[in-house]
Amino acid sequence: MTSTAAVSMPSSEAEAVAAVTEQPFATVLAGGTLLVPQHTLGQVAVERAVWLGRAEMDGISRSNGRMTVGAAAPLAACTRLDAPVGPCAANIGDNEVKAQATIGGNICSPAPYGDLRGPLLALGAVLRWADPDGTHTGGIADFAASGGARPGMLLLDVAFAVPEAGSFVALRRHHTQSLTAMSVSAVRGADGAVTIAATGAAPDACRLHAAEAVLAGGGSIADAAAASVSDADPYDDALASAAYRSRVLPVYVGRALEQLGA
Amino acid sequence: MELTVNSVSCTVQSPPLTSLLNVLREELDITSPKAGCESGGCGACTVLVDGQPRRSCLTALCTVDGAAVVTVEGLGTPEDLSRVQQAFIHHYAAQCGFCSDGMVVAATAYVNAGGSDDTDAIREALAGHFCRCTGYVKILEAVAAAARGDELDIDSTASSANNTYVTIAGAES
Ligand SMILES: Cc1cc2nc3c(=O)[nH]c(=O)nc-3n(C[C@H](O)[C@H](O)[C@H](O)COP(=O)(O)OP(=O)(O)OC[C@H]3O[C@@H](n4cnc5c(N)ncnc54)[C@H](O)[C@@H]3O)c2cc1C
Ligand code: FES
Ligand code: FES
Repeated sequence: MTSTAAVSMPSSEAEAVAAVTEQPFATVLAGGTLLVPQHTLGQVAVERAVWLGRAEMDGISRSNGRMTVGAAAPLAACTRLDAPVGPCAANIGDNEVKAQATIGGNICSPAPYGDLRGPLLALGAVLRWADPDGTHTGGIADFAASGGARPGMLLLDVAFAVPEAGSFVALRRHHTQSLTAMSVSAVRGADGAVTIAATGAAPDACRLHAAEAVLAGGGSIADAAAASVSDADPYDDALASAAYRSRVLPVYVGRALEQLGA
Repeated sequence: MELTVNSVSCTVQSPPLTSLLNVLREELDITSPKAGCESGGCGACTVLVDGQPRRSCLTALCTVDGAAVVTVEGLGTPEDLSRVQQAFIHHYAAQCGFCSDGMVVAATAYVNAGGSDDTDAIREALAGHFCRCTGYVKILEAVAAAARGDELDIDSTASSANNTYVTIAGAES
């Protein structure tokens, strides 16, 4: 079932903002790896769409120790970024999906998708998005609080300080098409502080503040791993049970911290 | 919108968000790309778009306006099969055949890009493709043979010493 929704194809970011935010609000089409099948199967209604493929929003640049990634950058290009973003992007789908899917589409996809929200939360990444009220900046949590993906909103780019070190570990079956049940990203910043975030420990990506505090206080990796469950809000779904999530979170936190050399 | 499908120029009328899979199957009557999962998870709908393997079920028509699309029908003819098609026949890499079109197309992109006969590299390239008949070993052998450029005489495949037949009692009659 396919609607006859019109699709505009802006050729710059400014044109894209105008096209998305004018009435009636448009749905953004990036790689389409989630939106196109949802639309075909009648799971989403699209009144009007804006495709980003020609909007030149796919750049990846580094300046003054900060990385800026355009929302339309394909995951295949993001795999070349340092941990935790690169290995997380590499962990999503197979080569054909990675060539087509974008980082912006991933950030905007609801759980159990959106794996990159974990690494970006650990990095303290700053998102830039536009809606009818103007252009906004904020972290992953601010973006979600603003309403996240919705018609009339265009995510523009994401920026983060290049960390001293980063690590990423994921729990999933050995097949490219299986979704990640849980992942842990850890980052050591220029000041030596370690930040940790997980996906699959709570219904959406979450920071593991208690584990961070243990490390900041000079505690061991084992103690930090044990403390991590206090920030979790484990849940049951088709990928894993709440009980299993609680059991494996400390294991994965431990592995991520070992990999980081914390 | 305009597409060149298997070297034929086509003007297509489907709405812009229609999946390329539905355009090929429903509007253009090209049925080799299979509607397996229709959500990107099986690879049966894979076609070449400007030489690159793409899941046609994930691809909106408007994003490929003007592109050159190749399906299995465009790779070879029954009299003049492509190297990958010959290798699939020679190595018995198709069982029910449902995954074969997507596999052959993705393998063609791999071989055309200079892919080697290394099993791990082939696995990586075909990782998004499910064979419900689980004939993966034969598929890997076929792609490796095509990547090496093995000389294949498919007319003699049926009597090849590499292939052993089990005769089911009574099946001759
Ligand atoms: C086989 C397969 C395996 C997958 N595996 C994983 C996985 O392991 N982990 C995972 O996280 N995901 C996975 N996905 C889901 C999905 O493909 C990815 O999350 C992908 O990154 C989505 O990006 P896209 O560019 O294709 O988004 P689209 O499909 O184009 O869009 C997805 C949603 O985001 C919105 N959107 C996209 N870009 C923007 C923007 N710039 N501004 C505002 N809204 C926007 C769209 O309107 C839509 O609602 C998988 C999908 C497939 C088909
Ligand atoms: S039908 Fe397209 S991947 Fe399964
Ligand atoms: S041959 Fe039957 S699905 Fe692969």
